Amino acid sequence: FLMSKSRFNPYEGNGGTTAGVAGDDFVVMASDTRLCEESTYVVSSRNYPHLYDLGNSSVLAAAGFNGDVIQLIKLLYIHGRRYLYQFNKEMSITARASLLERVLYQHRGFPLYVGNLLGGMDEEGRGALFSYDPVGSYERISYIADGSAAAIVLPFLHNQVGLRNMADAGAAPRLTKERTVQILKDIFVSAAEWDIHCGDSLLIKMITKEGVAEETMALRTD
Amino acid sequence: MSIDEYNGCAIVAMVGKDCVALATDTRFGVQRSTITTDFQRVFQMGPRLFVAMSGLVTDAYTVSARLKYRLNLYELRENRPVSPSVFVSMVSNLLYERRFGPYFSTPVIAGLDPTSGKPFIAGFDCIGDPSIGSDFITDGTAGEQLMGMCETFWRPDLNK
Repeated sequence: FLMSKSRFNPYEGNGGTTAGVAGDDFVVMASDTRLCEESTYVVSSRNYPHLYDLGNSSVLAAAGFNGDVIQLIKLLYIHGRRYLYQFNKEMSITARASLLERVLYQHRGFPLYVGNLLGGMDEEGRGALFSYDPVGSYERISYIADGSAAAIVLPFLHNQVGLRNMADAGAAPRLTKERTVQILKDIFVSAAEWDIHCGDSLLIKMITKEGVAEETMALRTD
Repeated sequence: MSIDEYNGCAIVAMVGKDCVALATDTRFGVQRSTITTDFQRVFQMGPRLFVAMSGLVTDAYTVSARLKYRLNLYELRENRPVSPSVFVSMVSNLLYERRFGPYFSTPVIAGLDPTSGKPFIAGFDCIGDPSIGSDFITDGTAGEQLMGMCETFWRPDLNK
């Protein structure tokens, strides 16, 4: 076998799985709290949530390369404060969404290796959720999953939130915040079963016009 | 795109109350192009024994044909239908013969034991390592996605 010398790799996959669901008057964001080392498969932390409060009841779910996650959060914090001091009000969620695209694209030549989901309440009181690729392409969406176990989580959301592939979907009731939280708890338990990078505990943030409430749940620790 | 994503597929097998179920998608594609939409990946090996082959289509066909050949000889010699555990060993042996130049296709078996009627499912990797399932087996390019659905919805003794 030909053994090639390995180049320095500036990125590392630190694990983490995130998900978000936007309803009529709420957004629920969820992430596991495990941080891993990609190259050694070691767990770096069992208590490292991937959800960040950005102000004005907006929450960013960010997982990927944790070094870039930390840098991104600092950048967004600075931009948020600058806007607040300049205009004497907090950024709306749509402004924040547009800002995140710009911040990510500014790093187009050496991207921030982060999968982002941004959630918050829009100006009309409806739940808003945006999902991004690492260089800033974004879209407003009603539910999404990202991170290492996204392939496990997303089909379940397609079925239970998007009501896809169900013959009698027309009869289903309007999605409530409580049912959304239950859906996310169930699928993260399954994700922790099958994805080695997902586990330890689940952090859920529920965003409404009243603010952000939190809930945690234990997951498998193996 | 790696060789086992060249054609693409989704396969799932589940154990139920006195029954098994085996499901596949029916797309035959070449990378991102779809060629036909009524393609069969399931091959019958006995009255209550089915094999679904994932991965590269040419290898799926070759492995299933070679497997049926060995199975036919077994049943002629033994004069009885093969039992699932022996069939697993046959599959494993066939695949491991190609240890350093493997078939890019992995079988998923679903069937009932010929004598006891007990449900049986199994999956393999491309060099024949068997995984006998007590609940469900998923395979193919959409294997992880199916895993999420199976893990959340499956419970013991589902009826057909």
